[in-house]
Amino acid sequence: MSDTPAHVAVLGWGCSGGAGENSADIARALLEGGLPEQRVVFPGPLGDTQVLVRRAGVDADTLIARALDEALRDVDPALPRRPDTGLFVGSSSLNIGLLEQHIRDRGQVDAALPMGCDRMAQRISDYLGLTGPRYTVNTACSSSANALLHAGGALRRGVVKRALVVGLEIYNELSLRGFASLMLTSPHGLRSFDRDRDGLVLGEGVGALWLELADQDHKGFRVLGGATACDTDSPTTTSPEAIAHVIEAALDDAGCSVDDMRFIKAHGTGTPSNDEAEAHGIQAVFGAGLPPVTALKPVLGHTLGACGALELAALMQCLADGVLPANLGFANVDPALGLMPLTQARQVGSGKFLNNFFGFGGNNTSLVMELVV
Amino acid sequence: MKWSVLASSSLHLPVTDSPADLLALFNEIDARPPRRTSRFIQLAVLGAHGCVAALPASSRVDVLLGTYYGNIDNTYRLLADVCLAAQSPSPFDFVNVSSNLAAFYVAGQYGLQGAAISLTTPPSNDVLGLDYLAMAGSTAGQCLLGRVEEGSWPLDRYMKTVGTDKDACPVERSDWLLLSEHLRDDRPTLEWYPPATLASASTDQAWTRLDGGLPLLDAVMAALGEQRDLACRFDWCDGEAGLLLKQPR
Repeated sequence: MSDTPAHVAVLGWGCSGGAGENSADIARALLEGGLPEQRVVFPGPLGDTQVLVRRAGVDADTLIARALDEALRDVDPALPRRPDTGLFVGSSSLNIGLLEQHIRDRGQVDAALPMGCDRMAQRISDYLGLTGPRYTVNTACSSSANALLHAGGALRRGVVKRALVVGLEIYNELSLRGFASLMLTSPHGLRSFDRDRDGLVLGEGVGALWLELADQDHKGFRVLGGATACDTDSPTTTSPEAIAHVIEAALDDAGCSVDDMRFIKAHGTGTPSNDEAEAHGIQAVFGAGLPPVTALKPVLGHTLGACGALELAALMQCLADGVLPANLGFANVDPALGLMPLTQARQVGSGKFLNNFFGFGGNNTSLVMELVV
Repeated sequence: MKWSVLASSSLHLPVTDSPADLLALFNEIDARPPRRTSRFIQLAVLGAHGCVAALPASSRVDVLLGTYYGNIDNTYRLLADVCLAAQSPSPFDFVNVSSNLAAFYVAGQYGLQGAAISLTTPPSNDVLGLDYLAMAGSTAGQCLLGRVEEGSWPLDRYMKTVGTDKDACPVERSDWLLLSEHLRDDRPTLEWYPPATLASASTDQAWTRLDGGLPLLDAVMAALGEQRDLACRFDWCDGEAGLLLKQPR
């Protein structure tokens, strides 16, 4: 992927969700700390109280419109509608939230339900009037990270001239109950890599990225490369070895070494097993030269299939302002992990950085990006 | 964009009043279904068997599974449980409803090492995932490309959902192609031409005009089975695309 002179550049980004209405809001939440005020407290099926990072009263179309409008704010409105612009959507629950509303409204599960895994992409396409190819990638929590990885490939190979990558996850009770059934939700809050972490907090939101090929002297964000691989050992967990493998493959694809990475944006779900596997996986690759590690889910919640695009949009907004956000909520080093993430935000400039995303179905994805200022 | 077709396999089951017995089909190939898996996953694993059973263990193969409706039967059931009965899904039911797990189980069952991606395209520009494969590339150099659709019961609701004519018999299907980026003279080749490149497509065959999606898939599978060439044109996005299947000379 790194043998062409042009770079895949992220020329626009936007996000909206439980942590804020737009990327500036969400960046502020990441840098100032604290969970958003609006939360839903859910009486869990096991008697626990589940906490969901969610803004009540905002529907799916509003979230989508906010993220898309922000990402395309500086883009010629004719470009997204051209047939050589591709739409790459990543989502885990797809349109389940809308199906649930439909069932509650009608009081039954019937043939009028709009089934089909393309429905949310179709909604986006209709909103923007797109005419090019569109794809919905479902690799659970790495969905929109893979959508971004493959959109980059499509640009490099010249199959499309521009790409819109959208990660979306809309609140739905099936996901909430499902993660509770798996006993992966925390009643207390999401504390990535902390000794006392006890699970994830679901989030909802939409992230959108606008990609084009740009010249070598382009300043801003670049997608240098990445990799995805399936760890077939378990449908719900992955291993340090599998994580190390995908990180090494991503670095190789991007033509980078471990020494090039200025920091790592970890997946950091706050579940005991995922954080342990990720910590050991990145330590195996980086050894003593481990750069700062941070995770965004303590503030954004785990937005599942959206987290690739949404976390990157929020992170890029912070980095564009010159700041790398801290891994909020971290208090105590877990001796089993031996990992001390970044606890204070720090100033950053140009540099390359690694981004991890892992999902059910052994779907591990790492992306290498660069900011040139 | 050109690939060698190393193998192909199809499983088609008529959707009648009750689901066909998949366990019997697993017995026929002397295999067991992966534990605690859904019908959709089992259809994917069964259908892919003929394509990959002969591959050596730990072969470098990516899995790209296309589906439009995904785990439709489980989705109906779990939505009814959650929305109408306030019941939580079992852990395995919840995990299985993510359609990407079918690709995971195909890779796991046959020891394939690579990526495992689940993909949906709109019916109007469905070119069997070949377009996506052309974009994403295959780091493994080989890709198991599949299309899986399961039935759902009650039958009447399913037929209305998928828009099947009341006199037609819908089918569950699990169709697979094992493709290699490394071209081989002794295997058929499959070429996809997006609209901008269709004029450069060269064939001795008369072009057949088809719809994309399942009609295209059926035509490719039939031509592979009959060991004949195929030249298809179909609408793709705002233009006309083409697909050529050529037998080894």
